[in-house]
Amino acid sequence: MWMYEKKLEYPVRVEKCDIKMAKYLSAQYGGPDSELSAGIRYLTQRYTMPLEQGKGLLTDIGTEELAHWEIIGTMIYKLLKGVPAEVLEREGLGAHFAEHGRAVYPGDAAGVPWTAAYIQAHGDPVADLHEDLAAEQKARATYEHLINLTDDTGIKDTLRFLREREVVHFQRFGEALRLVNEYKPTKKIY
Amino acid sequence: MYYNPYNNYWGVCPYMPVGGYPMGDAMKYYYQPEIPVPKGMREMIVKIMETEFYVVELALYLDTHPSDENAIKLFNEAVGRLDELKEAYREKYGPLTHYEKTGCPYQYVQGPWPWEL
Repeated sequence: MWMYEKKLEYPVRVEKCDIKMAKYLSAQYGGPDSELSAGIRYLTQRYTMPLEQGKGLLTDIGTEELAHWEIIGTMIYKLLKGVPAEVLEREGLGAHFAEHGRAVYPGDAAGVPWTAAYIQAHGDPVADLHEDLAAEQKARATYEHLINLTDDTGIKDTLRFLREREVVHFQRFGEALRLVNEYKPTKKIY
Repeated sequence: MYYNPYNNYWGVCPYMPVGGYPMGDAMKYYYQPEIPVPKGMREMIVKIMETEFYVVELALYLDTHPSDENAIKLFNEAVGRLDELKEAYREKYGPLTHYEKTGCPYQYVQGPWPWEL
Protein backbone atom coordinates (compact mmCIF):
# COMPACT_ATOMS: atom_id res chain seq x y z
CA MET A 1 0.00 0.00 0.00
CA TRP A 2 1.07 3.58 -0.38
CA MET A 3 2.02 6.04 2.33
CA TYR A 4 2.36 9.74 1.87
CA GLU A 5 4.92 11.92 3.53
CA LYS A 6 4.24 15.64 3.75
CA LYS A 7 7.39 16.77 2.01
CA LEU A 8 8.76 16.92 -1.50
CA GLU A 9 11.74 14.86 -2.57
CA TYR A 10 13.64 17.99 -3.66
CA PRO A 11 12.83 21.66 -3.05
CA VAL A 12 11.08 23.68 -5.74
CA ARG A 13 12.31 27.23 -6.15
CA VAL A 14 10.56 29.65 -8.47
CA GLU A 15 12.71 32.74 -8.76
CA LYS A 16 11.23 34.70 -11.61
CA CYS A 17 8.06 34.83 -13.54
CA ASP A 18 8.66 32.44 -16.41
CA ILE A 19 4.97 31.72 -16.77
CA LYS A 20 5.30 30.06 -20.18
CA MET A 21 7.11 27.23 -18.41
CA ALA A 22 3.86 26.30 -16.67
CA LYS A 23 2.58 25.17 -20.06
CA TYR A 24 5.75 23.33 -21.04
CA LEU A 25 6.16 21.62 -17.68
CA SER A 26 2.83 19.89 -18.29
CA ALA A 27 4.82 17.72 -20.72
CA GLN A 28 6.37 16.09 -17.69
CA TYR A 29 3.14 16.19 -15.67
CA GLY A 30 0.69 14.47 -18.00
CA GLY A 31 2.49 13.90 -21.26
CA PRO A 32 3.62 10.68 -22.94
CA ASP A 33 7.04 10.68 -21.25
CA SER A 34 5.88 12.25 -18.03
CA GLU A 35 6.47 11.18 -14.47
CA LEU A 36 2.82 10.10 -14.32
CA SER A 37 3.31 7.75 -17.27
CA ALA A 38 6.49 6.39 -15.72
CA GLY A 39 4.93 5.86 -12.30
CA ILE A 40 1.85 4.09 -13.60
CA ARG A 41 3.87 2.07 -16.09
CA TYR A 42 6.28 0.70 -13.48
CA LEU A 43 3.64 0.13 -10.84
CA THR A 44 1.55 -1.83 -13.36
CA GLN A 45 4.42 -3.88 -14.75
CA ARG A 46 5.66 -4.98 -11.35
CA TYR A 47 2.90 -7.58 -10.89
CA THR A 48 4.26 -9.82 -13.61
CA MET A 49 8.00 -9.30 -13.08
CA PRO A 50 9.51 -12.69 -12.19
CA LEU A 51 12.48 -11.89 -9.94
CA GLU A 52 12.04 -10.39 -6.49
CA GLN A 53 14.75 -7.87 -7.28
CA GLY A 54 12.68 -6.81 -10.29
CA LYS A 55 9.48 -6.51 -8.26
CA GLY A 56 11.20 -4.44 -5.60
CA LEU A 57 12.91 -2.23 -8.14
CA LEU A 58 9.76 -1.50 -10.14
CA THR A 59 7.79 -0.75 -6.97
CA ASP A 60 10.42 1.59 -5.58
CA ILE A 61 11.15 3.41 -8.80
CA GLY A 62 7.40 3.69 -9.52
CA THR A 63 6.84 5.26 -6.12
CA GLU A 64 9.72 7.66 -6.67
CA GLU A 65 8.26 8.67 -10.03
CA LEU A 66 5.00 9.60 -8.28
CA ALA A 67 7.10 11.76 -5.92
CA HIS A 68 8.60 13.45 -8.99
CA TRP A 69 5.09 13.92 -10.34
CA GLU A 70 4.34 15.83 -7.18
CA ILE A 71 7.42 18.02 -7.71
CA ILE A 72 6.34 18.95 -11.24
CA GLY A 73 2.80 19.68 -10.00
CA THR A 74 4.27 21.96 -7.36
CA MET A 75 6.31 23.79 -9.99
CA ILE A 76 3.25 24.43 -12.15
CA TYR A 77 1.21 25.46 -9.11
CA LYS A 78 3.83 27.94 -7.96
CA LEU A 79 4.21 29.43 -11.42
CA LEU A 80 0.47 30.03 -11.82
CA LYS A 81 -0.25 31.14 -8.26
CA GLY A 82 -1.76 34.60 -8.12
CA VAL A 83 -1.12 35.48 -11.74
CA PRO A 84 -3.86 37.71 -13.21
CA ALA A 85 -5.88 36.44 -16.16
CA GLU A 86 -4.62 39.04 -18.65
CA VAL A 87 -1.02 38.06 -18.00
CA LEU A 88 -1.86 34.38 -18.41
CA GLU A 89 -3.51 35.05 -21.75
CA ARG A 90 -0.51 37.10 -22.91
CA GLU A 91 1.86 34.25 -22.02
CA GLY A 92 -0.13 31.71 -23.99
CA LEU A 93 -1.99 30.05 -21.13
CA GLY A 94 -5.41 31.45 -22.08
CA ALA A 95 -6.82 28.05 -23.07
CA HIS A 96 -5.50 26.42 -19.90
CA PHE A 97 -7.00 29.21 -17.80
CA ALA A 98 -10.35 28.95 -19.54
CA GLU A 99 -10.64 25.22 -18.87
CA HIS A 100 -8.75 24.78 -15.62
CA GLY A 101 -8.26 28.21 -14.05
CA ARG A 102 -5.00 28.19 -12.17
CA ALA A 103 -5.28 24.48 -11.44
CA VAL A 104 -2.79 21.83 -12.46
CA TYR A 105 -4.10 19.29 -14.97
CA PRO A 106 -2.59 16.03 -16.20
CA GLY A 107 -2.35 16.79 -19.88
CA ASP A 108 0.66 17.28 -22.08
CA ALA A 109 2.18 20.58 -23.15
CA ALA A 110 -0.54 21.01 -25.78
CA GLY A 111 -3.36 20.20 -23.36
CA VAL A 112 -4.03 16.67 -24.65
CA PRO A 113 -5.25 14.69 -21.63
CA TRP A 114 -3.22 11.80 -20.28
CA THR A 115 -4.16 8.36 -21.52
CA ALA A 116 -3.10 4.82 -20.68
CA ALA A 117 -2.20 4.41 -24.36
CA TYR A 118 1.11 6.07 -23.34
CA ILE A 119 2.11 2.96 -21.38
CA GLN A 120 2.21 -0.73 -22.00
CA ALA A 121 2.49 -3.74 -19.72
CA HIS A 122 3.37 -6.83 -21.70
CA GLY A 123 3.91 -9.39 -18.96
CA ASP A 124 7.10 -10.41 -20.72
CA PRO A 125 9.91 -9.14 -18.48
CA VAL A 126 12.41 -8.51 -21.26
CA ALA A 127 9.88 -6.46 -23.26
CA ASP A 128 8.77 -4.57 -20.15
CA LEU A 129 12.29 -3.74 -19.04
CA HIS A 130 13.29 -2.58 -22.51
CA GLU A 131 10.26 -0.30 -22.52
CA ASP A 132 11.29 1.07 -19.12
CA LEU A 133 14.81 1.76 -20.38
CA ALA A 134 13.37 3.65 -23.35
CA ALA A 135 10.99 5.55 -21.07
CA GLU A 136 13.84 6.77 -18.89
CA GLN A 137 15.75 8.00 -21.91
CA LYS A 138 12.69 9.78 -23.27
CA ALA A 139 12.14 11.46 -19.93
CA ARG A 140 15.79 12.51 -19.77
CA ALA A 141 15.58 14.04 -23.23
CA THR A 142 12.37 15.87 -22.30
CA TYR A 143 14.08 17.29 -19.23
CA GLU A 144 16.95 18.51 -21.38
CA HIS A 145 14.49 20.29 -23.66
CA LEU A 146 12.76 21.83 -20.64
CA ILE A 147 16.07 23.00 -19.15
CA ASN A 148 16.86 24.69 -22.45
CA LEU A 149 13.47 26.39 -22.51
CA THR A 150 13.88 28.33 -19.27
CA ASP A 151 16.42 30.63 -17.68
CA ASP A 152 15.03 30.56 -14.15
CA THR A 153 17.91 29.18 -12.08
CA GLY A 154 15.66 27.70 -9.40
CA ILE A 155 13.55 25.71 -11.86
CA LYS A 156 16.66 24.71 -13.79
CA ASP A 157 18.19 23.33 -10.60
CA THR A 158 15.17 21.15 -9.82
CA LEU A 159 14.92 19.98 -13.44
CA ARG A 160 18.60 19.06 -13.40
CA PHE A 161 18.02 16.95 -10.28
CA LEU A 162 15.08 15.21 -11.96
CA ARG A 163 17.13 14.60 -15.11
CA GLU A 164 19.88 12.95 -13.07
CA ARG A 165 17.34 10.71 -11.40
CA GLU A 166 16.19 9.53 -14.84
CA VAL A 167 19.77 8.61 -15.74
CA VAL A 168 20.15 6.69 -12.45
CA HIS A 169 16.89 4.85 -13.03
CA PHE A 170 18.13 3.89 -16.47
CA GLN A 171 21.19 2.28 -14.85
CA ARG A 172 19.03 0.43 -12.33
CA PHE A 173 16.76 -0.97 -15.05
CA GLY A 174 19.85 -2.06 -16.97
CA GLU A 175 20.88 -4.05 -13.90
CA ALA A 176 17.43 -5.61 -13.65
CA LEU A 177 17.56 -6.58 -17.32
CA ARG A 178 20.94 -8.22 -16.78
CA LEU A 179 19.54 -10.18 -13.83
CA VAL A 180 16.51 -11.31 -15.85
CA ASN A 181 18.70 -12.40 -18.77
CA GLU A 182 20.94 -14.35 -16.40
CA TYR A 183 17.94 -16.00 -14.79
CA LYS A 184 16.38 -17.17 -18.05
CA PRO A 185 18.84 -19.98 -19.00
CA THR A 186 19.27 -21.32 -15.43
CA LYS A 187 17.85 -24.69 -14.52
CA LYS A 188 14.61 -24.45 -12.59
CA ILE A 189 13.76 -27.58 -10.67
CA TYR A 190 10.20 -27.99 -9.45
CA MET B 1 -3.15 45.37 -3.27
CA TYR B 2 0.36 45.59 -4.62
CA TYR B 3 2.48 42.74 -5.88
CA ASN B 4 5.02 41.16 -3.61
CA PRO B 5 8.52 40.60 -4.98
CA TYR B 6 9.46 37.16 -3.81
CA ASN B 7 11.10 37.19 -0.44
CA ASN B 8 10.61 33.70 0.86
CA TYR B 9 13.28 31.08 0.78
CA TRP B 10 12.01 29.05 -2.11
CA GLY B 11 10.54 31.84 -4.03
CA VAL B 12 7.22 32.29 -5.67
CA CYS B 13 6.21 34.07 -8.84
CA PRO B 14 6.46 37.84 -8.24
CA TYR B 15 2.82 38.29 -9.24
CA MET B 16 1.81 37.03 -5.78
CA PRO B 17 -0.41 39.77 -4.37
CA VAL B 18 0.46 40.79 -0.82
CA GLY B 19 -1.78 39.43 1.87
CA GLY B 20 -3.15 36.47 -0.02
CA TYR B 21 -4.26 35.43 -3.43
CA PRO B 22 -7.67 34.90 -5.01
CA MET B 23 -8.55 31.29 -5.59
CA GLY B 24 -10.87 32.28 -8.40
CA ASP B 25 -11.48 35.59 -10.07
CA ALA B 26 -15.28 35.60 -9.87
CA MET B 27 -15.61 34.14 -6.39
CA LYS B 28 -14.19 36.70 -4.00
CA TYR B 29 -15.05 34.59 -0.96
CA TYR B 30 -12.42 31.98 -1.88
CA TYR B 31 -9.75 34.55 -1.05
CA GLN B 32 -7.22 32.71 1.06
CA PRO B 33 -4.56 34.33 3.24
CA GLU B 34 -0.92 33.58 2.70
CA ILE B 35 0.04 30.72 4.99
CA PRO B 36 2.92 31.73 7.28
CA VAL B 37 5.72 29.21 7.38
CA PRO B 38 7.01 28.52 10.92
CA LYS B 39 10.57 29.61 11.55
CA GLY B 40 13.20 26.99 10.80
CA MET B 41 10.78 24.57 9.14
CA ARG B 42 12.29 24.90 5.67
CA GLU B 43 15.84 24.37 6.89
CA MET B 44 14.83 21.24 8.78
CA ILE B 45 12.84 19.91 5.83
CA VAL B 46 15.87 20.39 3.56
CA LYS B 47 18.04 18.34 5.94
CA ILE B 48 15.43 15.59 5.98
CA MET B 49 15.25 15.76 2.17
CA GLU B 50 19.00 15.24 1.87
CA THR B 51 19.17 12.25 4.21
CA GLU B 52 16.01 10.69 2.84
CA PHE B 53 17.31 11.03 -0.71
CA TYR B 54 20.45 9.18 0.38
CA VAL B 55 18.24 6.41 1.79
CA VAL B 56 16.10 6.20 -1.37
CA GLU B 57 19.19 6.00 -3.57
CA LEU B 58 20.68 3.19 -1.47
CA ALA B 59 17.30 1.41 -1.41
CA LEU B 60 17.22 1.37 -5.21
CA TYR B 61 20.78 0.03 -5.31
CA LEU B 62 20.02 -2.67 -2.75
CA ASP B 63 17.00 -3.77 -4.80
CA THR B 64 19.32 -5.13 -7.48
CA HIS B 65 22.33 -5.90 -5.26
CA PRO B 66 20.77 -7.35 -2.11
CA SER B 67 23.97 -8.94 -0.79
CA ASP B 68 26.27 -5.91 -0.82
CA GLU B 69 27.30 -5.69 2.86
CA ASN B 70 28.96 -2.32 2.63
CA ALA B 71 25.84 -0.77 1.13
CA ILE B 72 23.68 -2.37 3.81
CA LYS B 73 25.89 -0.84 6.51
CA LEU B 74 25.62 2.62 4.95
CA PHE B 75 21.87 2.13 4.52
CA ASN B 76 21.28 1.27 8.18
CA GLU B 77 23.39 4.20 9.35
CA ALA B 78 21.48 6.57 7.10
CA VAL B 79 18.11 5.24 8.28
CA GLY B 80 19.23 5.84 11.88
CA ARG B 81 20.13 9.45 11.06
CA LEU B 82 16.84 9.89 9.20
CA ASP B 83 14.82 8.64 12.18
CA GLU B 84 16.57 11.12 14.47
CA LEU B 85 15.94 14.01 12.09
CA LYS B 86 12.26 13.08 11.69
CA GLU B 87 11.85 12.78 15.47
CA ALA B 88 13.33 16.24 15.93
CA TYR B 89 11.03 17.58 13.20
CA ARG B 90 7.97 15.97 14.74
CA GLU B 91 8.62 17.51 18.14
CA LYS B 92 8.75 21.01 16.67
CA TYR B 93 6.33 20.99 13.76
CA GLY B 94 4.18 17.90 13.98
CA PRO B 95 4.08 14.61 12.12
CA LEU B 96 4.99 14.12 8.48
CA THR B 97 2.68 11.16 7.96
CA HIS B 98 -0.71 10.27 9.35
CA TYR B 99 0.64 7.08 10.89
CA GLU B 100 2.23 8.80 13.87
CA LYS B 101 0.95 9.87 17.26
CA THR B 102 -0.56 13.33 17.21
CA GLY B 103 -1.67 16.02 19.61
CA CYS B 104 -5.07 17.66 19.61
CA PRO B 105 -6.15 19.30 17.24
CA TYR B 106 -5.09 16.84 14.55
CA GLN B 107 -1.63 18.01 13.55
CA TYR B 108 -1.26 16.27 10.20
CA VAL B 109 -3.72 18.56 8.37
CA GLN B 110 -2.22 21.75 9.73
CA GLY B 111 0.41 23.96 8.43
CA PRO B 112 1.87 24.62 5.01
CA TRP B 113 1.57 21.66 2.68
CA PRO B 114 4.62 20.76 0.61
CA TRP B 115 3.58 22.83 -2.41
CA GLU B 116 2.99 25.87 -0.23
CA LEU B 117 6.47 25.99 1.28
